[in-house]
Amino acid sequence: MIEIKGLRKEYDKHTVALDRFDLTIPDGKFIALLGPSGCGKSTTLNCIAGLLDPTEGKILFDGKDVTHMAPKDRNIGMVFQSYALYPHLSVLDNIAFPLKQKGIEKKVRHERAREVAKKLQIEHLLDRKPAQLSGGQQQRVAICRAIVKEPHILLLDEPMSNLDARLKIEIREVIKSIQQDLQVTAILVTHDQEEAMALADEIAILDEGRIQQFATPDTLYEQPANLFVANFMGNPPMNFLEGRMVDRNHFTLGGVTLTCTMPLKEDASGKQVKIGIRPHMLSLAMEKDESHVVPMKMHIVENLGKELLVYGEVGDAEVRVSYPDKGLYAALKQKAQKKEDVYLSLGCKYNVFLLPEGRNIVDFEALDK
Amino acid sequence: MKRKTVQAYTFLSPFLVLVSLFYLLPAILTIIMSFTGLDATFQWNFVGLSNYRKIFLDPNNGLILANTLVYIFSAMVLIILLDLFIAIMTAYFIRSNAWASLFKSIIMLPMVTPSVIYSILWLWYLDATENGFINKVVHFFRPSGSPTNWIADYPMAVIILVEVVVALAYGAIILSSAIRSIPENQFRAARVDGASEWEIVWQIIIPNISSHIKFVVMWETLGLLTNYINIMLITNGGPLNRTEVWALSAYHKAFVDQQYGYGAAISVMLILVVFMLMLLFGFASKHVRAKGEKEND
Repeated sequence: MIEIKGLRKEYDKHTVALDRFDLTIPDGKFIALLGPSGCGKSTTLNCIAGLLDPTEGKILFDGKDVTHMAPKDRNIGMVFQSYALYPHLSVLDNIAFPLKQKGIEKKVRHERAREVAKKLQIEHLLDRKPAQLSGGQQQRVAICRAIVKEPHILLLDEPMSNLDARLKIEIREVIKSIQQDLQVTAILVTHDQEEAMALADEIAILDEGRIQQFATPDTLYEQPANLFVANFMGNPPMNFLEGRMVDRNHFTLGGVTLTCTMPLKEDASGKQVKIGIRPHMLSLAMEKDESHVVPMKMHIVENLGKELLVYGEVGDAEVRVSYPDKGLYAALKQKAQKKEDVYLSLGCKYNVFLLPEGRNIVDFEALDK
Repeated sequence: MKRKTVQAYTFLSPFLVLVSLFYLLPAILTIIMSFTGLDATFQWNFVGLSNYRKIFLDPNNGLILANTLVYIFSAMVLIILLDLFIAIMTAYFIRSNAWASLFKSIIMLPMVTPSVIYSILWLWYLDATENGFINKVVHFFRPSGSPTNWIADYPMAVIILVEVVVALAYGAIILSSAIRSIPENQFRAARVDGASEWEIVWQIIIPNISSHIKFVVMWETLGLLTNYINIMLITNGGPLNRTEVWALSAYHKAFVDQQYGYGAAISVMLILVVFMLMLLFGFASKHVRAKGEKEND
């Protein structure tokens, strides 16, 4: 188990990269640290690796304080975005390097390196130098090097960011199967939500040195804790409609007053809110009817093959709607050309973010009951 | 395309003329001169190979050759070790650029100081009387002893020391920039992989900069072989030829003894050695490259 308690990291005494950072990772779990660049995710990983000294706070491995321990004493394996292979060593010696540092005899360490290489299907490359390999092959070598000493924790620092789309998926599979095979605790740093969703059991979303939400991919997607998480997760992104709570159960939106069908944790009467809805949860009608009451000014409509993506405007907010009935493409296109209105229904699942702080006030526990 | 080449040659030709006049012509003249008995009378009488025979018969040349080898080998070992030490310290352990540049500027001082001024400084440092700087320092700690004549007692050590201090900066700067160009992640990976700082130096830094080390060795060898100014100014080959090296002896034979033909022959021998060394280095680096390309297939 890895416990991070109240971690704080300052650079040059002025910039704070991490602040009051708490995270507990059970053994064998695959965790992703996800966030935009500069959010502190790499700093966190480097603190766990021991490559950076935190300013404050503690890091415990299985209850043992490792905060100021050297990286070599932590029993970790690490994979870097730039592969960081040793250019002067052959692939075999690269993989065996961590074993060499442990003083393991040459024959034994080469044998173990060969075994690991076989697992990742690079045994035919063992005599080459790193410069003679493709990016995907280099990253496989780097993964071999990270796991050859059977580390307690596997740290992955954007391991797929330098690879093209097809290789990304390939290496993703490699990492996933290795992690399941070895049952090693893995921490992935990435800015790519798809990568995080595909690999991690749980994801910590980071922004400005703080954890915004730590939950399963599903929870992050369905029940974002705040505007940042809601905005960050999902493609196409969530729609945000500005409104105002009239009383506990009603809000106005684009000039229409609606009943709030979601249970709320608090009474926000009179306060500004943002209603966040996924594009596929919005329902659209050509004409106004009982449920479709929010007018949307049509901009364009795209035919994506499996569905239509409709762009429009409600109030000042840009809105995207996924619409499964492709039969309406022609009619919607006509409406878009004439800049006419269509009508939206908010459906049964949306989020209410209280402004200005952006906290989600929907009571999901009550909803589940 | 062809016109472009013609233009390039046209623009280069003044330099080609200059290079021929000032480099090629003297070289050819030296070679011709080495087959003559040219002396103070300036008679170009051809004497065949007798100057070269003289090189092998001259009883001093054994000592001069030994001096040259000792001088080059010791200075080279010291220069490379110190260069590596300085480069690793300033480029790896001291991450602050400001301190590293300050240090590099200081070690560059001897390199940019004119040899004459630099040598006078050393002569004053090593002065044999009690006024010499080093003798003063020694006297301060051991007032009973008499002053040491450093240059007379340790001439070879002195010229090696002087040359090492001058030559240090060049290699140190090349090696330290080579170290700085090693990606930081290689060090991080090595630390995570269990390497100590000492092991990082031996297993990551040195292999990464090995081609730069080879270059510095080559460059310094050629420099030490041909450059004799500091030796001339400090010991002038003495006492009793104890610091006379090959290049300096060519100068002495030609311009002190006025045996121009003999001096030229000694120079030609030196040029031949330099030429062979360059071929050897060229061959070695080509061999390494060819090996690399073969591995690429």
